[in-house]
Amino acid sequence: MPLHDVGYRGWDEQRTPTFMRWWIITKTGVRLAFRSHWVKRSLLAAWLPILYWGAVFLIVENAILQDTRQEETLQQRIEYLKEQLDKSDSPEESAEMMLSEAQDQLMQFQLGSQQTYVSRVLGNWLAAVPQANKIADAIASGESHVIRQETWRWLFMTFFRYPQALMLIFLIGAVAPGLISRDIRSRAFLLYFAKPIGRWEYIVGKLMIPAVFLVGMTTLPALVLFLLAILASPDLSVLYSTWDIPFRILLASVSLVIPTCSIALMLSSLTQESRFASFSWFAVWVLGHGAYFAVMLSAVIRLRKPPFSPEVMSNSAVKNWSSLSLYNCLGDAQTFLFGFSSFEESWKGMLVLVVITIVSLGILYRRVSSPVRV
Amino acid sequence: MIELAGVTKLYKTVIGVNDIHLDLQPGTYGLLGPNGSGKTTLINLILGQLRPTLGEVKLFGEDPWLNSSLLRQIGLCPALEVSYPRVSGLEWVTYMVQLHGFGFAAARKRAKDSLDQLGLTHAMDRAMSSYSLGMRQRAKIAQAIAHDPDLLILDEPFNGLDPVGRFEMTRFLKEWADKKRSLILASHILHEVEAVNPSFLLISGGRLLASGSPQEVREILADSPFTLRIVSSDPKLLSNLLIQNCELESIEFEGNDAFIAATKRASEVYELLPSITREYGIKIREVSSTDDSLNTLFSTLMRMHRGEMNQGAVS
Amino acid sequence: MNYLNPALATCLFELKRSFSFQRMAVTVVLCLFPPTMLLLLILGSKFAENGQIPTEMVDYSTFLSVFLVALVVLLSLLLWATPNVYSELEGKSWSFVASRPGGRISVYLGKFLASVVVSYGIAFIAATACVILQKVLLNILEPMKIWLSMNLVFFLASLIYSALFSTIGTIFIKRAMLVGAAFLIGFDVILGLMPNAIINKLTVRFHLQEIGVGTMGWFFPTDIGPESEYRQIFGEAWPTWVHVLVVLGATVALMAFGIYVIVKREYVTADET
Repeated sequence: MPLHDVGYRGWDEQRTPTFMRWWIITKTGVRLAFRSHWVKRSLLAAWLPILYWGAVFLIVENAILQDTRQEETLQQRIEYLKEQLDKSDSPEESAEMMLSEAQDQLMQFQLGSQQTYVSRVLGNWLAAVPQANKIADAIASGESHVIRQETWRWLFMTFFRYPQALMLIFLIGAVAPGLISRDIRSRAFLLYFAKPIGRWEYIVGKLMIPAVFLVGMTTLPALVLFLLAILASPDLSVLYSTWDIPFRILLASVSLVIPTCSIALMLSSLTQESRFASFSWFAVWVLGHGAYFAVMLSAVIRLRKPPFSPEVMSNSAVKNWSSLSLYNCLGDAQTFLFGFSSFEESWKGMLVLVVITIVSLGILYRRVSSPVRV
Repeated sequence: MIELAGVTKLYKTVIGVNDIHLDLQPGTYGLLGPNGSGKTTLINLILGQLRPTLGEVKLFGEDPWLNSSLLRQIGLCPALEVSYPRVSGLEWVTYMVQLHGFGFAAARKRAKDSLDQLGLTHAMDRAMSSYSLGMRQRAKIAQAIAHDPDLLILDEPFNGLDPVGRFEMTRFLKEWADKKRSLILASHILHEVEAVNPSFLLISGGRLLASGSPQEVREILADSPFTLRIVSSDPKLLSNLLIQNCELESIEFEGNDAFIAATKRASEVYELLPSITREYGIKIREVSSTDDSLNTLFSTLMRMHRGEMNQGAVS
Repeated sequence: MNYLNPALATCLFELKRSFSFQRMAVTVVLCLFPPTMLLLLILGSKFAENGQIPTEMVDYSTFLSVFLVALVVLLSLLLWATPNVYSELEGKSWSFVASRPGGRISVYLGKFLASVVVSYGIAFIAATACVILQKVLLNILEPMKIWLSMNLVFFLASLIYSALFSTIGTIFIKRAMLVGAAFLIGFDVILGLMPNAIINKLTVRFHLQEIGVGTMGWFFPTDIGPESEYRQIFGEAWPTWVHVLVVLGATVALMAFGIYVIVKREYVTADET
């Protein structure tokens, strides 16, 4: 009787390399998450701030350009009048008057220039925004190179710190909570680990799902914004002042993506019900920042100064407890990476992020490795 | 009891059920169809959980979408797997009965009785998460019958059951049907439904292809192209005789005592076998089909609908 | 049809289900967060001022208590009220409850009750602990008045936010918690701060704040918001009972709308199609 081989048939074609197996999990997860209209809309909304920021870049560049040209014209005129006066043995009274007028104009221009205006507006309006005063000072200095370098970095930092960080909370809240909890609930681990996929490959594959969305809502728009800013500039010489910004963007993205995705996935791994993971995700942000806000109020009480005043914000208790808030920790890292604070000023927040990431990944690995009940 | 007039349900661009006309009197019905054929959608339409895109549904003479009080007379056991980590079977069934408006004491008594009836007395106080698949299935049926419904609807009740569990489930369903209570049993496995001896509703691709008695279904199957495996004392002689008298498509021998015959009409073979046995003294030890009976049934029905075969049982 | 018994049964079933380690841990954390933070802040300020608690702390303590309790109550409501339909769909139990006469309404009302009971329970414990701390450590005046007022405000907050989140849960289903959180931040906080705008009066926070101010007096620290500034933004105060009526009326209206949605909407799990 002939015996037919109906058992396992070896795969003779090329397989995905071992180090890329996580990508299969990521690719499938991203495709599934992208089916949600909510996720698509959130991602779209995350690109909207670049319109606003792009407009600001345009205004800043325009201000730098116009001010520089007008200032140069006035200075050339003064130089010319001075030369004329020097050449002449008996200068006319009118020439002296013209020189005096031109000097007055230059002084008035410098006082009321767009750059000064921007710096004053920033100084007044954004007094509570970190490093706004520094940028105002840089603009007031009047040197195009310094202005551009500082302004661009500051704008990118605020882009990461405010709209994108807030939208991150909601996008990750939409994508991540079900990623592992659903696998635990449906016991899909059995399917995953019956394949040649290790624990870390599974974890990396899952981590990369929200990471892809975060890159899509932070890194990519920021790089597009950089490109727009370059295109809005008068010439390519701006690259001399701003070449480092893409690298800062990439580092800031990494600092944003790794801790947040690790926490979200860890929370997802702790439960079978995605709503608990969603709740815990929001609770981490709300309770952490709420606690920080309460600490700040206590400083307000002790210092008898209004909330968010420089005295309160620079108070040692407020600074020390700032790391209670995950939002502030991310802010510390971004402020450092965009060059607006020293390592000494930011190390606590960054250390908290590193510790949170390591602990989250440890818990995640333990949960994923724990025996699966059938 | 249930009337459907031209009922169509669309999930955006996907058709759930398509132009179904049906009038069911009280009785036992087997809703039979492959996976994804629209059985659950049809049940949800009957229960008023879904609103038909076109057509009209009547349950006990009223629109179930507008009148959820009709559900008092229905017991539903969905195909979905339900499990609460810290809730016992008794607590869950009690809660389900309470949702019918019963007070706690009355609901608990009914829950206990129904769990007892399903043989879960010993496990009723245990957390449902510790139940085996068969126990969960029985708990699901207990919640469906605890309020004493007139119509019991079971969606894939045999899913995941072992042979003993299937036997017990069949026995329970037969007892239910014997009490002259109505039953709709949805399944994709023909012989499971057949065991309860219901009238059949055959659904595929969202369309009701046929409805009829078990006898009528057997007739359709008998007239269907079939592959038969016959074990006999003289397979060569038997196959020769069959080739001479029947329209066989192919013969394939298996060892010394068996052969597989493909026929266009299995009924011809069945009719011939007794006379051959008698005349030539061939002992037939086994006649079995190698086909999936449901697939055969549905492909036959589709051929009938396309006019490739006689209408037979389809009216 | 009598929905009360089934609704109570749902409420009790939900509460019974909540006796898990996870949910108990969440509840304990939420109950302890406000008094713990308040205690740390009072002791911290005492330590920083060389053993003397600054007098401003008395002024701030009520605001801090209200702020911290509000945080945990809102989080609790997000957890309990928003996933009312989704938890059933995710747990594949929707078909079982929805196939009962009036099952949808009973489940909606029962889950609403459960979220009110748990959230107000958390508010009650947290507010009581905070007021005790205020009395013991700061010797505040009229602690009973503050306690009663906080209980009234948080009870009403539990009612109206629970109704709001439950209704959101019937509409947005899978992303209800996200929409609830976005509503709180976007509408109640950001849009609610627009000066002299009608939208102020449409926020839940405005009415609850006014009830708080009406029953316990001006509890905001003057540095954060003097009453004159507040009135410039929110306009003149209405009688407290009007705000209570608005909150109760809005709760009833939201519940009615939620019931309409849950009855008229088709909810099907992916497995069932």
